[in-house]
Amino acid sequence: MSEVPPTRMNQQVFKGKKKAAETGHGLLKKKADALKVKFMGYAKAIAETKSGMASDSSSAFFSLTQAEYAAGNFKQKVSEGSMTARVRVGAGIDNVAGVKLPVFTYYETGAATDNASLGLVGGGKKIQLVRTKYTALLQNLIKLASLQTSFVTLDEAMKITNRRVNALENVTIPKIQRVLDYIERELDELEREDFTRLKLVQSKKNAEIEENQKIKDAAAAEMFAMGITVQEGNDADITAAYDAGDDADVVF
Amino acid sequence: MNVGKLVAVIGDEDTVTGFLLAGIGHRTADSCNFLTVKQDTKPEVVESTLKSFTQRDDIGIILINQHVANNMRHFLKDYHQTIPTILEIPSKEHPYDPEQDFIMQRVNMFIGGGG
Amino acid sequence: MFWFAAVFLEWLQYECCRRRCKQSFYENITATPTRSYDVTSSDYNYDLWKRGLNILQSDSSCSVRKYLGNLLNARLFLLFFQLVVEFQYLRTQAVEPLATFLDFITYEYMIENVMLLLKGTLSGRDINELIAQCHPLGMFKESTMRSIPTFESSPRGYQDLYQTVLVDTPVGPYFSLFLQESAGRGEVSNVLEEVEIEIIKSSLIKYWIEDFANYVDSLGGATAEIMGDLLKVRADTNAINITLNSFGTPLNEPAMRASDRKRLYPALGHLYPAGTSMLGDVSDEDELGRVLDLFPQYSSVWNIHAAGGSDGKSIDDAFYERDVMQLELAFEGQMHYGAFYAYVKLKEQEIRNLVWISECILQQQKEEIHKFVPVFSFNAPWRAGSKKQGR
Repeated sequence: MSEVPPTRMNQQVFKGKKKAAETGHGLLKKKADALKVKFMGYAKAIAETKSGMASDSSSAFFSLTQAEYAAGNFKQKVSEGSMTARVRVGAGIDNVAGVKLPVFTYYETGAATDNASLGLVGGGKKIQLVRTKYTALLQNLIKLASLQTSFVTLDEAMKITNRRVNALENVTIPKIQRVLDYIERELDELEREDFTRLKLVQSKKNAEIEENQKIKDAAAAEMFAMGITVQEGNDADITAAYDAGDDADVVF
Repeated sequence: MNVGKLVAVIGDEDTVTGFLLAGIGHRTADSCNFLTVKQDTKPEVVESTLKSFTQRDDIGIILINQHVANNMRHFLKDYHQTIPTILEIPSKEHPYDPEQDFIMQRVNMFIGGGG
Repeated sequence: MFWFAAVFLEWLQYECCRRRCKQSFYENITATPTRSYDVTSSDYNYDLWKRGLNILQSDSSCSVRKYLGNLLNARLFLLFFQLVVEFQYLRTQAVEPLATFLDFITYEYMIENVMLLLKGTLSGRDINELIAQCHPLGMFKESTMRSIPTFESSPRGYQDLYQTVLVDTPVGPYFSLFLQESAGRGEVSNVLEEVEIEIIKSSLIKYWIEDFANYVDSLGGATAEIMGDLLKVRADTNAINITLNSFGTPLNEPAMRASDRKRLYPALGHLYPAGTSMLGDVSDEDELGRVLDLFPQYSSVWNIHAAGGSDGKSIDDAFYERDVMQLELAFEGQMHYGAFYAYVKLKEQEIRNLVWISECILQQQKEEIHKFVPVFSFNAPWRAGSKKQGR
């Protein structure tokens, strides 16, 4: 801070800076609040969806048990062979207060169903039910995944924003303030120095005047002693006393 | 051609079978997006699979059974990527316990503490 | 050499009776969950289990559930083990024609195993893992099984696979029949690659049923009558199920209906030939219902399905119920081989039930736990009248 020359101009510059920092602080604080509101919303939604997930998934698991009862052991067949994903997630982006949040969307590629005729000789309908149950569960999970990524991203964004707010509040603004204080102090100091200087000059002048007066008085007294009357009226104009024109001729 | 990302799944047989029936399965000559964790599946295998899933850019979401995730806590704790998202899901034999879910722990921290 | 079979059969039936008589004993142990169970003995009466489970459920703490789950799994394993051991023992002691008859029973599982191995090969799975998943009743020479996945996944590889391995297996003839019928489509590899595994399997099962029926017919007597009827019903069940389950799949497209779906219907049964030819044309459930209306023995099953499972029963349950009834009757009959088939199938049903119960407990589905088809149950609808005598 000492490298800032304490000038009026710098004072203006720093006053500007302080103003900007305060505005920024206000805006960021608003952003942080907005994020926090969203964040709480997501947190609640996650808590709700996650608890709903438990019952969804248990019904899905049970549908599989039912299918197994009806169709025999088909599970190992499902995981064999090469396959192409029929369900994928599209990644979109949502924007909350300038924070980009990834959003997953469920979509079907239109590829043919793998193992379409599973359970052909029995239990096919039950297996169909398993498909629907798990698809529903999957859709919920994808929603949940979006919420969760948003949650994590927002969490991160909020941390950054809060850090910025705190930095502005506790570091940047005080720093500018200190510079401003310093400049003010220095400027005051300069003013005081000037004042003192003037005072000194004046007191010196006064002393000189007094000295002169003393000399003059002494001279006058001497002259008076010698019978010369010195005109008192010319006291103010010392030189006038020596003006040859005005003075009477003095002959030593 | 590959638009959209895959959903990967690591879990017990019922979980994997179900989601495969729902159509998420994708197996090519050299990779596959699911792992069935059985009684005798080694934790190292699960961990390396999980790691490789997180490093693939064609996977958007990783579903993992909670009881499997419980053995992978050390990995999940330090996992900070947004994508792929790791989602803990219940399994047939183990009812879902929100207490253990690393996301839920954070959620509860905010709902309980911050709300 | 029928005497041996007869003795064994008597022993089985005696065992079954003995188990049923132990009812009161089971009532005691199911009521006290802490006492150690006799997991080795087999109990055919699930009503008792249900009662016991209800008690346990009122105290559904996790440890009790786990304990019961483990227990059921142990029982399940033992039951399965028992089935396999008993069957294999029977097979080693059997002489012709029973031996062939028993082999026929295993072919069904063999088809299942071959399909599993084939599909596993396509995804490059470890052979040991695959063999471990195979049904023990459907095992064939291990060297043959191990050689299946060694073939390359190329047209040439499939050709070799078929010519050197599949033909050698007992189910080889069914494969060649299937390939002959599909010959119009080109190479073996194309057929194996393009046709869905499930459809190949259904075709093989169809040939198996036809072949089995022929063999049974050649035996004559009570076996031909009772076993023949079991197979006929089996064939009809398959035909109805295939039709019903094809709705919504490519198999239901008009072109496929005639060329592919119809080929899966076995050429025997009460529906054959008039019914199956009608089934070949149906395109939705209503039409299927109208066809089945013409066949009294199936219309009741169909009505359960059409009612939308209001009492929680699906068409599969209805078929199971029918099967169990018929199988029980066959099992209790004398001097025919059908009893062995019935024995295997009933055991299977029992295992299925046990899986159901343990899954229900595991997943805490209290309302669903009764929804299975009990074997040798006094409460079975067709036995309701004789309930008092049974006790």
